[in-house]
Amino acid sequence: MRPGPFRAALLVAPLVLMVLAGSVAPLGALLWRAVAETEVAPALPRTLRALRLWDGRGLPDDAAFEALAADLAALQAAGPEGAAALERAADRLGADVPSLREALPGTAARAPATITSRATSVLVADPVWGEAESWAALRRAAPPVSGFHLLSAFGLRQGTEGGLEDTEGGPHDRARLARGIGGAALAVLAGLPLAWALARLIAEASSRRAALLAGLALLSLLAGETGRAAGVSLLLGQGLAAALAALLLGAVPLIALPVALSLRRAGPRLPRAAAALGARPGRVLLRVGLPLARRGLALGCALAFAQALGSELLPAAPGAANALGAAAGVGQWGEAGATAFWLLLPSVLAALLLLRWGRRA
Amino acid sequence: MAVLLALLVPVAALPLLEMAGGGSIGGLPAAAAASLLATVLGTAAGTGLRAGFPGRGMAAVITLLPWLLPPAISAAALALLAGEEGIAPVAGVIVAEALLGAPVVALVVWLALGRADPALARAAAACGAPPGLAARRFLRPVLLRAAGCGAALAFALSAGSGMAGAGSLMAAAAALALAVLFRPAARG
Repeated sequence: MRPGPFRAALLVAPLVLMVLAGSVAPLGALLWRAVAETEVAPALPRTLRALRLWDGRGLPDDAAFEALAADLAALQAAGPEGAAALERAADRLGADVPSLREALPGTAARAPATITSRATSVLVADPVWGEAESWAALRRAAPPVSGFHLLSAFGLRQGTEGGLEDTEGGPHDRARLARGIGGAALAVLAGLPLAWALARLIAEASSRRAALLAGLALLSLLAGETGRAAGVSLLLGQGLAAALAALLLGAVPLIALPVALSLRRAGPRLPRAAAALGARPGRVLLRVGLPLARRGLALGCALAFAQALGSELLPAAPGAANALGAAAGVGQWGEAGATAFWLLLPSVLAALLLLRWGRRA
Repeated sequence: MAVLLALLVPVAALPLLEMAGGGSIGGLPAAAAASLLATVLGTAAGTGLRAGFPGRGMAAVITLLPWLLPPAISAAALALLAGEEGIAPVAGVIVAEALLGAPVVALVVWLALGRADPALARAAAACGAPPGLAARRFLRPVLLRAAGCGAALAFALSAGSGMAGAGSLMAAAAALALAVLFRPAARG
């Protein structure tokens, strides 16, 4: 009565293709943005070409100044499109050296009014071009692929001497990332005993009651992230405790349901036999209950960790997911992609480790 | 029981909030479209996964992937794709919700078909019934029930926070769907 292997594969193929097109491909595009340098090269092509000849010591020669003036003049002449490209380049360079965010459009506006050579006009328009660091930032944005956004999302930047140093908001960025990961881990750890109790309640109930209990348990998951946060803040107000409680509410059903299914599948006979043979409840839990539910525990914890990691915490104590949402909201895809990478890394690692642990059952 | 109550109290408090009535982008029509898409794809995938084929493990992991990705990442990735390809936001929401609903439907169908009694198929074959007839009589009802319950769960999932006010409806839909999973296994 079963379809053959070929027909079975054909039946699964549409969903697999949809996940690949709707989830894997957009994720790949987002992660590509984390390493792709797409902002500066289109705006300042001559400057980046001239900087290829610069050895990075002192200031570049006049040709680079001349090229920058020519690029800025071309952008000014290109109208709104040029202004948009200039803004994107200024944003990217400003994320590396903050003074360049104002300096680049400022130079573009002031340089043409200076009655001097084009190269000197750049220096007159903004003294920031007299510093080697500004030119080094331009050179760092030149290759098609770089680790700038990945480092920046982790609060680090490449220094002028090649080593890594903190960015202006570096400790804050890392604290935000740690808060997201720590909050998710805490929600899973705190949720485990609660989910275990709930799973046993569901697993040991009659079929109809089990379905009803599971449905009720699922309700907080179905209410959605916003619903959970709103409900919790109504009871606990705004604060870190409320944020953690909202994460916990999402995590408990995700852990409890796979565990309940595992326990129900295993049946009550083995724990009962262990207890009848004189094992204490703690020993029955450790030696029989947990191994029986291992697969469900692994899947539940992996799901709950990934979902909690991607939940936005309260604005008062934002996590990395808040930063990702904010960056995506304003179209800063380099920053969004890099933040996604740092969020994805722990969730993929956790999923691999947990699912491997679950398979050893 | 105390854990369950603790889970339910914040959700029960939701209808008190005015914002609980506010729907997500697209509202119920988008949720209905997403659950329909999820049901069609999920039922087919669940049937195929149950039957088995080389590479089934990998296919199951790919199917489950939208649940293993942090939601903020999926949302940002879809927003990027929607912005680049000029996809309407409602279409993006439907795809995102269908991607979350389909694995749930597939899982319900997979588990429900696993509980179908293999002795019935053997008895039908022994009585001389062709395999197609046996499948129609024994598997189709199980499949339809599982697909219907999966659809209810996918719809409740898609409706999300927009439906939080109608919590009891969603709990009923979820309980209906989960009844398939918690029914006693058929004896072989």
